[in-house]
Amino acid sequence: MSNTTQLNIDLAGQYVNRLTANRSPDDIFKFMLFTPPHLFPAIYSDGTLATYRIVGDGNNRNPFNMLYNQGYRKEFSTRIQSNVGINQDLKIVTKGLTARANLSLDYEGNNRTLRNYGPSLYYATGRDAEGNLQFSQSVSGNPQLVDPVYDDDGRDNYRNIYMEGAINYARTFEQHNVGGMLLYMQKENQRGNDVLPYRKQGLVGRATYSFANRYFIEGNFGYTGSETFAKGNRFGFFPAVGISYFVSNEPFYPDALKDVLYSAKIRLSMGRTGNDNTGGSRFLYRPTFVTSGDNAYNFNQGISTNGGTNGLGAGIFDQRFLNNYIGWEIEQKRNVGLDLGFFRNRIELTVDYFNNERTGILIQRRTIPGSAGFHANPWQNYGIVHNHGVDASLKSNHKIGEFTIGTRGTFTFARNKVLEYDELPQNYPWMQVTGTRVGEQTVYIAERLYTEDDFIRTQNPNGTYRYQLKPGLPVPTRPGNAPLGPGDFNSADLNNDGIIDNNDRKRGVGHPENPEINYGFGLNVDYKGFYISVFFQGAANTSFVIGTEGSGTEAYTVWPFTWGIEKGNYRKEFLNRWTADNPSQNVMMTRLHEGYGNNISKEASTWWMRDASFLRFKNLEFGYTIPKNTIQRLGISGARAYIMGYNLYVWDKIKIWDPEMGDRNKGVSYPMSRTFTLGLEVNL
Amino acid sequence: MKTNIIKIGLISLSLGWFTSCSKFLDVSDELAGGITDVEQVFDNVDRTRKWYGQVYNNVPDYSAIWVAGSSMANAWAGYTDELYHRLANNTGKYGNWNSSNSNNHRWGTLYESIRQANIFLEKVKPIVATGVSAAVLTEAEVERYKANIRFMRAAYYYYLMEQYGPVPIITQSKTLQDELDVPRNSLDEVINFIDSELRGAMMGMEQEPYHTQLDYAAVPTKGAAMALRAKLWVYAASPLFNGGFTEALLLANSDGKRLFPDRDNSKVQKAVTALREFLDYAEQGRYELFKNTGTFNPALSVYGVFQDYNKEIIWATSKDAWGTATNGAFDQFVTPRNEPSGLGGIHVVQELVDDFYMADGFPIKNTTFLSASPSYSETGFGTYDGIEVSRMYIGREPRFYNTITFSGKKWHISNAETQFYLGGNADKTVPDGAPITGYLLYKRMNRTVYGRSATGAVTRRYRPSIIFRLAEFYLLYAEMLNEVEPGNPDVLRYTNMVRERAGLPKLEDLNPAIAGSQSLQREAIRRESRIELATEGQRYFDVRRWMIAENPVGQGGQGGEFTGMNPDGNKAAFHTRRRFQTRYFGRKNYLYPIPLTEMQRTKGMLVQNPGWDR
Repeated sequence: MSNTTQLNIDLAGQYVNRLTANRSPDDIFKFMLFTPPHLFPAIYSDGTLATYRIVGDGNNRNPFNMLYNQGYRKEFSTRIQSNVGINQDLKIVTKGLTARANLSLDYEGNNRTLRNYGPSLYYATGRDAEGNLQFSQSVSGNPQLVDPVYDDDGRDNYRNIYMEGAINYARTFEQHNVGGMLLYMQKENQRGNDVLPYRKQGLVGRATYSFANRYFIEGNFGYTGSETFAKGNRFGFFPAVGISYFVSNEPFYPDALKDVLYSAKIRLSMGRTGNDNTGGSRFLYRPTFVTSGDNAYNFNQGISTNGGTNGLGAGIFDQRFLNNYIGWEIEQKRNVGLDLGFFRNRIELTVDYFNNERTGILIQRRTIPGSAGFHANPWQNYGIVHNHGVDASLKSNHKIGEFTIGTRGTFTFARNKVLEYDELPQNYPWMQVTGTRVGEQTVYIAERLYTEDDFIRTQNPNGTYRYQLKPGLPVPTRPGNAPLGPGDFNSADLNNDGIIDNNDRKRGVGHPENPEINYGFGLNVDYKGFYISVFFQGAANTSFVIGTEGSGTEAYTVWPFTWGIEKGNYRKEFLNRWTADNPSQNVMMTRLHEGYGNNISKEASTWWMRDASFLRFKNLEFGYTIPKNTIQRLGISGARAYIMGYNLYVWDKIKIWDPEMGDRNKGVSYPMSRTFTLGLEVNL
Repeated sequence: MKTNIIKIGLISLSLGWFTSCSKFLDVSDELAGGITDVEQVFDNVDRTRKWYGQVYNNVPDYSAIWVAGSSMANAWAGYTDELYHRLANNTGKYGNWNSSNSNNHRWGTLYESIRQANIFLEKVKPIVATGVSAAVLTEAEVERYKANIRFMRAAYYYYLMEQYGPVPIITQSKTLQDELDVPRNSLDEVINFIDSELRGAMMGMEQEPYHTQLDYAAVPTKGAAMALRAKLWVYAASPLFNGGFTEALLLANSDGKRLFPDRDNSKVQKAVTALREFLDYAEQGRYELFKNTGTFNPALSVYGVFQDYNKEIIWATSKDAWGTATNGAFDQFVTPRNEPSGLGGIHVVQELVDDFYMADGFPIKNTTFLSASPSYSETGFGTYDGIEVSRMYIGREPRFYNTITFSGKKWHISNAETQFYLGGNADKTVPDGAPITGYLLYKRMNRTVYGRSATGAVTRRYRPSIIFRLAEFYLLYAEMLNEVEPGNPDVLRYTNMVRERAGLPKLEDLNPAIAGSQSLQREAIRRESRIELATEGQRYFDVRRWMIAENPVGQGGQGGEFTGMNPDGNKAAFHTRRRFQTRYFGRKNYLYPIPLTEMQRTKGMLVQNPGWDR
């Protein structure tokens, strides 16, 4: 707008309209996995729609019908991002001073309509004399699509307002570099059915100074307020300071060494950051009162011939009480780093060691004596977790004749430890959370599969066998007296009390689900316009337990027949199982049970624990960039043809599903896809 | 021009935002609906009353027998030498349990009620009418409410003491800034605190029973406070709390403070005095033993006392857990399997059956104070109510027939005989509710409640759930008076009043040697209270305060082999005693352990009761 004032207005919008099957891909895929293929075909040869003989519940479905014969849904989503910014050079005040202000408004709206279709479904009972299929109707439906309806479940709106204003100063006085910044920001966002917006407000300041590109010092702070805490306790102060020393820029740095170690920089920093995420519940400082429900006692003051009378109405009592002291969780960060460049920076290595401690983690206290009479365990900034590790990256670049070869690699290792959890002393040391890592697995230790020798076998009148554990063997507590027999796994009785129960579940077997080690590496090679690039990615020190827990359609869905003989997970891997004829210990699946409730072996245990580390061939790209002089004659400035593959292979120990899909029953959903792209890029 | 407009627009937009800066984070101010502060409760009449009502949440409900882990219900009848039922068995309390067993603990829930009471006492105030609200809480109402709440708080401390012995006394509501890890007060401190609170409260409570104002009949009155105070001193004077539990005498807090006092005989006199004060108050026409209207009929009287509100009731709760003939509560579980909807699950042990007297007032076998009745026999059959039944069940006292369903007894409405023996209509071949002991509880069942519509039948009949009734206090008075003055004729007079209502002769008429003999009177009174108060929630605590729970089974003992009839036998073989269960009792069981979680929460301030590992 003038020599010193610059105005930016950015507007971006996106409007997406999708037409898909009525059920989500995840849903359909789940049913593909746990509908037995032998019961009925996807569709009968004469075009009749197939399903279970008896559709007893919503989990008896034909996935083919879910995809093709359940109608469709339309999804509309609108995204608008806008940003207005103004930059003002304030050199009239002093050189190097600038100011800016920014305001951005984002909106995203998602809506969905459904058009349902529920035709009649059939089950073939046989063939008549002419060989025509005979059917019984399982579901009586409507041959027509019904009118579209608005789907409230698909409504998801999001808005985000961000505003900031800042003053910057940056100037060089000979060898001295001086910089400063002061910024004010406030933001607000609200998603879906949040009744109240999330807001933050803060002041950020930074001062930097360096001398001769050798000595650097930087200090900064954030003074941030969060709406979730009580007035007076909303703001947290988060300062940080860092120094670094560019050794190789020193005049005394020997040239001879420079041939090898071309550049070297040492960094040191420490500071604090904060976290205001209070989990599911907001405004935990506010007291809550119970005024209804089973525990709100209606005191009937009178007694009539028919019961209590003269009631005072549902009682009132305090649940969570006022606690204005609840505030930010603080992370104390400490970092040492090295940036090294070898052979004229053909090889660059960066290594960082960090050592952080989170304090004041908001938890519900466990050790408050009952005599205090609190109706709910109070929340307090009480937990402490320590976290330390190494971050490193390595890059190289070589030219050998016409070949350009580049490599890159990254590596992160982080290990944490719970130092304070306000834990009640556990019955046994192996149950303790304090001192272990966040997210450790708590599992039974499966020793082996029971064999016939472990039981006293008696025959029932109908010819089946009844098994009773021999005296002296530890007895597992079983849900609903689930049958126990050879081929079920036997857990260690850690406390030797003769009973296998919760006291025999050990915390800290294997690794937490979140990997401690993440790494990646890649290679690029160019030769006369041809190029190839590959990238691998991996994780290690991670474990997970397959099966167990879950609810709804995710409950125990990993195992065959988990919902009775007509529903379960039908993967061929489970054929490798214990049977009476082949009572092998070296199998994947324990003795088969029908229905997960009757499956003693469903418990989370080392039997189902897997090393979840993996190495993925993530990316491969092969292409040719057509030389400029060849194509410029065609009036084209650049062109490139390529073939790209994504998620090409994964080396892992889970085998039955992709390790990045997660633990428990998450593998029974839409899998990670592999994609290939063939492309031609032309720049005019 | 255009840019200027944009500039102005931007500036004004920014200004708009900046001006609201200071309030930007006050998002939660919008959550002003509902109650956000405890003051908003006590500025409002309706809310104040609801807070007040909530304090009563833990009033004991002795009608709730079909329960497992609940704290203030009557699980006790199932845990003592009275009953057996499946839910009681599920809690593990028949075996040698430990402090991690979390069933039936009053600790957590009563301290919540105590906090509720403390906040009430700290905050309640009169409320005057305003322009928009005519509701008023007068000074007099506030004083009445405060007195009632002080009574309830004292009662809750009494119920804690009954279970754990000495406990921490907390009289102020706490926050996280207070010291929360507090030690136990000494038993004498607890007793004196309850005593002084009750004395203070009873002056502000309703001075007369609400017998004619049934709309307030569940509100405790001065009579309830006097009765509770008397019972408090009975416990204070009883061996368990009065120097008899030797292991407990060594128990001390970490600072060396002893928790259990040495024997103090003056406490017995205090109990007598407190009981006498209460009885003087009661006998001025305020409370009386229930007797049927018309010609006195003991059977109808011992039945009727539990059926409707009456002047024997000193304190009752408006809660009840009888349920209906079909909804899985008391009434359905005392109904035998052969009757409509019967689930027959609350079983009476043989030891209780045997302790009932014969109609002539004599026991079925020789005791120190009375010889066996000549009319009792266990061989062969006779006729009762037109049915051929074992002679064990013939000629017993009215309370026997009111308390027990035995094989051969006719059920009401249907008039059908109940047969627990093998081959009978309610035998062991039914999957659940099979005869475990060969008896079901009948006491407090209403004789019109029936699982199917029939003439004179209902599926639900309300009965008050009694906390204190006069008969109990007659027996407590006799018991305590006998300890200080066995020659006082009141000892037998009060015992005999309870017997007389049950249609039994005076004790001294049956054996003149009883009169004045402290030990014989003691035995007779204990037997009387076992029968009169059977399954009303007292026996569990009585055998402990008397410290007779370690005796052999049948003499107050709670550990050992419990017997019933033989459900594997046909009608002839059924009527032989057979062990059905072995229960555990150790000296640690004289008191409950402090819950293990509490022991884990304390940093050494709380000490565990004697005999419990941790």
